[in-house]
Amino acid sequence: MKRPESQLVHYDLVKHHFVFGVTFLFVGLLAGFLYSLQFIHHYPFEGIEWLSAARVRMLHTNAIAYGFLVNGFTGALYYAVPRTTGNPVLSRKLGVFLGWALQFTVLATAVGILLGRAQAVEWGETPTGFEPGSLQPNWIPCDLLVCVFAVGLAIQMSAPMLRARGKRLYVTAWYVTAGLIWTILTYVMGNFLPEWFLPGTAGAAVVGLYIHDLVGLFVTPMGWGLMYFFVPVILRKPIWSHSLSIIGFWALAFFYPLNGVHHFLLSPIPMYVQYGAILATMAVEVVVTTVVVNFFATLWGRGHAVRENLPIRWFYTGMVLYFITCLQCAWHTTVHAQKIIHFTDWVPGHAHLVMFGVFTFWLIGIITWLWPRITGNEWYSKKLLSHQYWWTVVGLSVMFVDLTAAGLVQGFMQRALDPWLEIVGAEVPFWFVRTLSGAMILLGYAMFLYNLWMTARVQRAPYREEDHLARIPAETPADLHLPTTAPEV
Amino acid sequence: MDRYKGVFLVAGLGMFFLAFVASGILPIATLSDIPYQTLDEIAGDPIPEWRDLAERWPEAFEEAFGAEAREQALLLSRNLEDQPADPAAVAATTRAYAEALDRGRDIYIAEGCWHCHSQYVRGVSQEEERWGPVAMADEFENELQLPQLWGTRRVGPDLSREWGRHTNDWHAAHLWDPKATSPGSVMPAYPWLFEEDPVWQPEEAVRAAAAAIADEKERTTWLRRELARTRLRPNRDGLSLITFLQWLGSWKPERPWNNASL
Ligand code: HEC
Repeated sequence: MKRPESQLVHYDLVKHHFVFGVTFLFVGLLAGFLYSLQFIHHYPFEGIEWLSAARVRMLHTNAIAYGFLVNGFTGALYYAVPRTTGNPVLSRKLGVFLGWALQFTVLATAVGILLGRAQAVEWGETPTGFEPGSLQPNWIPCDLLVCVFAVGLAIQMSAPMLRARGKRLYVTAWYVTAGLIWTILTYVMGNFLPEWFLPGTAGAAVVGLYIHDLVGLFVTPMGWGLMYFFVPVILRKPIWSHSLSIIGFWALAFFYPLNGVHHFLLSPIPMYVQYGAILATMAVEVVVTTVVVNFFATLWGRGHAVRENLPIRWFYTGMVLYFITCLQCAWHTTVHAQKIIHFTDWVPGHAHLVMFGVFTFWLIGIITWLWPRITGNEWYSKKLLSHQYWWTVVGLSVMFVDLTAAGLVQGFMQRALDPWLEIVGAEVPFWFVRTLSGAMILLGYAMFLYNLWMTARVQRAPYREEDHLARIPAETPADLHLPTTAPEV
Repeated sequence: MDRYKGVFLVAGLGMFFLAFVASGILPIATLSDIPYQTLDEIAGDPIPEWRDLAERWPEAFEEAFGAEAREQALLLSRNLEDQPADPAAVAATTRAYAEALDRGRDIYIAEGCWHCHSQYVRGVSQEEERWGPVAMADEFENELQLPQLWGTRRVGPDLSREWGRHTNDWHAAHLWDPKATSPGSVMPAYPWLFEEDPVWQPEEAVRAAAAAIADEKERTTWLRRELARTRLRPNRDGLSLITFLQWLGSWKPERPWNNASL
């Protein structure tokens, strides 16, 4: 039984999350850019307490993690989950409530961080609402609100999954279901254990696990889950190997969480735990290779889409960068590489490659694909979309190469026992290039925002699904509940 | 497939918990025989810099921690082996000292210092030469390590061996204006940890003294430092943060790792 299109996907929820997501991404990018100015002695808000550079740094990562990634993924799930399962989500009302709860949480987090209520857990600076390590309230308990949202979203999405009983579940459903459950566990573990129960070294091991699981068990499953949905949908052909996708899923589930401690290598954490983490990290590269091979095999015969179709171009660029990131992981996790690169700019270079180059690229691709379907208007300017792509990709590449080189210089100078201020001085030129690359990314993003705004505002041409269906012939009718006509808005 | 859904769910959860065992439970078990220290236990043995703060900024200290705590702090001998006998007196300053450590740490967290400074020394890359002894797990089993502040990035120096590397005065000038003590530093300034000192030297006198320095770069740095040093006094937050910074590494029996130039 096929439901009428209008009852399957709640486009208003998709739109709500995308609108807030892209807004918070702007805040996040701007905060990162401002923070970079501190390093070239031009921070504009020096001396203003609530805009202190390091607080703005935390705003940068949190606005992107909770403001953009969570909103972006949630919006995309509201589209993808009903389509993969053929069932609508539990309730539109719940969706509206969760949406506003999330936006409130993000705002409370941002304001809390700027007011000095952050928690000392990386990627978990979200205020606990209590004085560190005690039970004395000092702010809105954002950690708890995030938990409420995560549980709510899991319930919301479990309805279509459970109703799909008896059918073979597509791999997207695997990733999403598992990801939502893991996210709750990970979040509770990282934000409550080291803060109240696990001091010192054992706490550090759990914080490492948290940092890693948040990327590995929330962001990665959502990202790949959505890729498994959107790539076949846009290319209009099924994924190359269903079995390989399932192998990739379980191997990821097994190896990824075991990596945690590699964030604190050569620390007082027992060495056998560290060696375990190093081996697991290397194993992840094998897993990643299976996944990437599957996607490139899917692209086979449709290569022109990378040139003609922007979402596909974003997706595959992200996959290439993902492969590079993981290749990097596999060897810079060794203790030999760690001696030099740990504590240096190498690591932020690596982090930007994966959080921006992969997952943000994918979400930008997804938004690029869905925005005309949400607004009912064709893109205001396709040329601008292409310009945006190049500014962003070149900006990120420059940043990555620059920070990697900077990391090597720092690492070797530190080992050579050079005076600290000389090391800082040697870095400033690299930091200057980093700021320039950030400006390129920001410029590219400004084009996107303008384009989104104008597309929603001005209808140059109405969006018609049929036009797009004609362009790439369907090889096999995919078993996904695809629209054949434009959605009613 | 449907029949096995439950099995898959358990398998997925199992993998999460497997990782938690491998990188949580196992280290906890390995480290479980290290005794845990509460804040009061740590504060039972105040560092000499605590007394120095009471001496250096008497009004600020009294405003922040009370007259009694200051009197008691002054009773502490400069020599740690020679503590004052009266336990009540020690208790009074110990309470204030514990409060300062706790508050200092809160500020360290709130200001995100831990994003630019690490707090553990590795046994590689000559780190022992630069910072001091390699970090051991037992250093971190206490109430001020909830959560630990190891950090993952060193824009600035490691701070886990900071005790006695600089004077209180230096820290004050540095926090007010890092470029005053460390030309070319990229560390942010923290003026909100200070108040203007009502009895500061007239600025003209400092400027006149600066004029005598020939080298321009040296003169600017000297002037910035002297202005900061004479005009300012840390407020409660500033005193607490300095106390916390000075405390870092004081648990090591060896006296300071005085290679600040490195
Ligand atoms: C943007 C990065 C950054 C932030 C944030 C930062 N610092 Fe620094 N810090 C540095 C750099 C770079 C140096 C080395 C140059 C200098 O002495 O200023 C330094 C030096 C120091 C030193 C001197 C270390 C030594 O042994 O010589 C101390 C102490 C210090 N910082 C404390 C703090 C505290 C406390 C905070 C938070 C309130 C903080 N820092 C925030 C970058 C930072």
